[in-house]
Amino acid sequence: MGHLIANAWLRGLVHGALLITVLMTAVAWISWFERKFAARVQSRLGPTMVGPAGLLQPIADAFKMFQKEDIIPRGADSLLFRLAPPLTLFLSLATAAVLPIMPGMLASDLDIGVLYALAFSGLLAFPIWVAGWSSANKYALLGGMRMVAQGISYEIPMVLCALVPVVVTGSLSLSEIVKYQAAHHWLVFWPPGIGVIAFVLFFTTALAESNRIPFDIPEAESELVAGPTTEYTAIRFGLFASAEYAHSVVSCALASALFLGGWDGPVLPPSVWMLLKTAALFVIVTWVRWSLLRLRSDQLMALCWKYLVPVSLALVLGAGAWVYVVG
Amino acid sequence: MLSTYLPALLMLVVATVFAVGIFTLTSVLGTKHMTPEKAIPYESGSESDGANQIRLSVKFYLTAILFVVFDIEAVFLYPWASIFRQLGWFGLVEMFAFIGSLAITLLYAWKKGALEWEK
Amino acid sequence: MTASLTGSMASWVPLMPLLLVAIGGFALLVVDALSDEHAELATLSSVVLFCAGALAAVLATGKGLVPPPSGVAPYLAVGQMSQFWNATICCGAGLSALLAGGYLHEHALERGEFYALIVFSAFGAMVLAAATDLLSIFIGLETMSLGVYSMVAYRRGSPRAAEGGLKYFLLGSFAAAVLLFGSALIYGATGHTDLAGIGQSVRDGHANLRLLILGMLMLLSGLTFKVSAVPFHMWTPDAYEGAVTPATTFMSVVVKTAAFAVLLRVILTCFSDELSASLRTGWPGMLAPMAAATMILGNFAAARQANVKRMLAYSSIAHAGYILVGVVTLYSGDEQVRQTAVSGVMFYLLAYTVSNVLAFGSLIALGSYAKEAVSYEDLAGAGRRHPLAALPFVLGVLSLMGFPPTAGFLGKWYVFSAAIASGNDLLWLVIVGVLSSVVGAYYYLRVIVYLFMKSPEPGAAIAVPMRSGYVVLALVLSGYFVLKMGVTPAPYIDLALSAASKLG
Repeated sequence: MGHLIANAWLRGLVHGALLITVLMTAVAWISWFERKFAARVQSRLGPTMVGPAGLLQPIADAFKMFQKEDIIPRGADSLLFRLAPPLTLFLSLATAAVLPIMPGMLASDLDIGVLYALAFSGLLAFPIWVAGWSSANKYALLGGMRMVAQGISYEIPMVLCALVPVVVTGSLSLSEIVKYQAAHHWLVFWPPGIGVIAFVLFFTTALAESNRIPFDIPEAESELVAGPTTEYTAIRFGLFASAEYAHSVVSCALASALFLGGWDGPVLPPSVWMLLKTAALFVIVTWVRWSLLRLRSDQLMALCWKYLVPVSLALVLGAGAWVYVVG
Repeated sequence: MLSTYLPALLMLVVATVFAVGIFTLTSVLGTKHMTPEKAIPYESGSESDGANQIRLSVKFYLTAILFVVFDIEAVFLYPWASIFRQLGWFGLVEMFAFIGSLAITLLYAWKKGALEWEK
Repeated sequence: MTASLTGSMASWVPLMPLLLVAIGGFALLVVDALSDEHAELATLSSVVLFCAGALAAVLATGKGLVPPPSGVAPYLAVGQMSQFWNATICCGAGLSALLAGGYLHEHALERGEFYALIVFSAFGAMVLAAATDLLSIFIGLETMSLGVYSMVAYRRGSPRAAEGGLKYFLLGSFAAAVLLFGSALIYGATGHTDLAGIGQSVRDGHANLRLLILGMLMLLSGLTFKVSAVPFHMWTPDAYEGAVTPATTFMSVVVKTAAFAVLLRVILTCFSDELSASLRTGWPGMLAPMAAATMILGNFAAARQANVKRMLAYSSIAHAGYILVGVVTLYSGDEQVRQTAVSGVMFYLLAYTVSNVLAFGSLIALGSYAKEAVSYEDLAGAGRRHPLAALPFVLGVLSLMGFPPTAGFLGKWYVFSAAIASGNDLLWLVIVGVLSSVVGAYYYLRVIVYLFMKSPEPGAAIAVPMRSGYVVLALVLSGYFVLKMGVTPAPYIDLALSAASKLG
């Protein structure tokens, strides 16, 4: 299949190590970027003290997390409580295994890459629910339930929107979808109209899936303290935070692979294009977060079931009809 | 077949190792001054009130049922999406019928108030 | 594949009863969602079902029956036999919908979903009766059952309905799991999921016998659960009693018909070889004692009930036993006998459908003003006060009892005479059947005694018959068929015979 590293064992290990390193580093400085961005939006300076322009702040944060006390609250289901944070991170990283970074560079070129990525990303609601449930805390449980309700509701339009590229390209492999876009059109423009709506909806549902504002009702800090993660301290809490960032980044990468042509682009090397597109989408995610308000629970559900689901059903049919008529 | 999945599996192994490593590190570096007060469930500083496993609104379960209906639908749509070129217009018509019937289901659930979070 | 699926328009005609019912169900959902009038739903659902049933009845004669699109064939049979089942199922479901139109209104239970449930369950039953693949059997079974579970628990406030519904749901899911596991074993033993392929493999002796026998037992157990044969009958009285009466009617006629239809098809297509159809080593060895136990237990337990609805529930168990005698007769190697037995079962189920609708419909008609007639006491003297309203009840129980010249008599006659014609091996079963139906006469006649010869207890509430055009229509229709099939059975039994001669 033209992998840069032919041996599957070696490829898995190298990609695993590489992706985790890159992703965790990215996550660390993304948190810096977000704090700076938020500060600009709110006319503040943000972190300035640790390193030049506060650039070493994430490292200081990580060290702080390591040193804090790890508390398991009374009445908690100890096993599940411990299991939830690594599981969250695990699922965020697992999704990354099928992302094509450049031609011939992806860990697993699965025939069902789209399905695999969506399955793992959809599973992410469950460890968060487990965290909420096992904490034996009312806020956490309520947050966890909201997380599941939101996660499974938004998964449906997400899965349906991701179908549009599958219908157009006739392949479930992410690398095939990217190759198709490099050879023909970017799927955000193709089929005209349908593609761009599908992309916007996919991006919106991806925001909801990774509980970013305006869809962060599960951890609405003004009512639920910190939602499912209320009882978590030290690095366990840190893992949740990084998993959430990692999930956002991976969702952005997935959106660029599905709709924005992935590594396809002129002049610059493919992997740079992929990173640029992902980064651009992530900037939008941050921008949205610091510009919009949080939706209420009922608005959240109504938006999903009354608008996104019917529209995305129509998109799938529209794409099918388009392919049949235009080819 | 297996070899395409192997790297993905290995990545999962690496991710596990990473998580375990972090926890070992924190258990070495972290402070340990446990007191009974720290283990009290956090309820904004006041004493914990009532049972921790509260009863939840039936809406959550209704959402779960709707999810099952539409997720199964998505499961059927994926194989269709990857081969519907071979099925020709009949495949398209059939999928219109399938999605149409689900749209009626959604309409029914909507009109019956199943989609209202608060009534 | 494309060309064969589309074919000519005429090739879609055999599927029309199924499609009509499915489209009708969706139409009901839309109407229910968009309007507040429930009365039209009863009309709409019964019209849809009767239209589909009438179409199926015409197709059952073989007129206009062209081969269906080939994509359908591996999963569903749409020949004469399936059309006969379709007609029976649609007739039973349509009559139940009519009864619901009266009953739900009278008892202030009008909610639109009931009619949609009836129509979708009937659709599942039709798929089940026509299924020629283990997969379509399961899908049909579940589509039918899920609707029925909800119908049983329909009266939300009633603990009895909740109990019946939950019992039926849990046991039914368990039975479905057993059936599915049995199907998996049969697939493992033969490498086929289509019934014809399984039958071929069994006849050729290619199948792994140990897996096959276990799978067959599990499959048959799952199906006999649905017909409520002893020892899988435990759910029946509670579910029948807890359910609203139209739902009870639906369960007793439609579910039973579909389950027997698929039982016949599975046995005829898959297990008709010498070894598995032997009285000693094969399924008849399991089904014959079951039939005997079902008849005995059903009749004796029915005789002990003080509640008419429970009595009818046990009586439906007893009837499952009689029909099972007809199924067991299929062990015979004689093609003639087998066809007689199959047609006997078909006729019996049609007769049972109309008779049972008559009995339950009268029970509905005799209770009114939000009070259901449930015990014999409730019926006391009703026949003297309202002879016209009690008449259908008399006709219904006489037919269930097997009194000539009603449809029920001929049903028993055809089934038992086929069993006798098959040889002396089933003579004991027929004797058990005849003797236990004598017990049946006791409790059926008791209804008539209470209707005409007892007076209500002093001070007891006296019911006035329900004034509902729907119920009257259902009673008139089913009463007409009970008498018509009893007096001039020839067209019906000929239809059943010609359908039975070709397994399609």
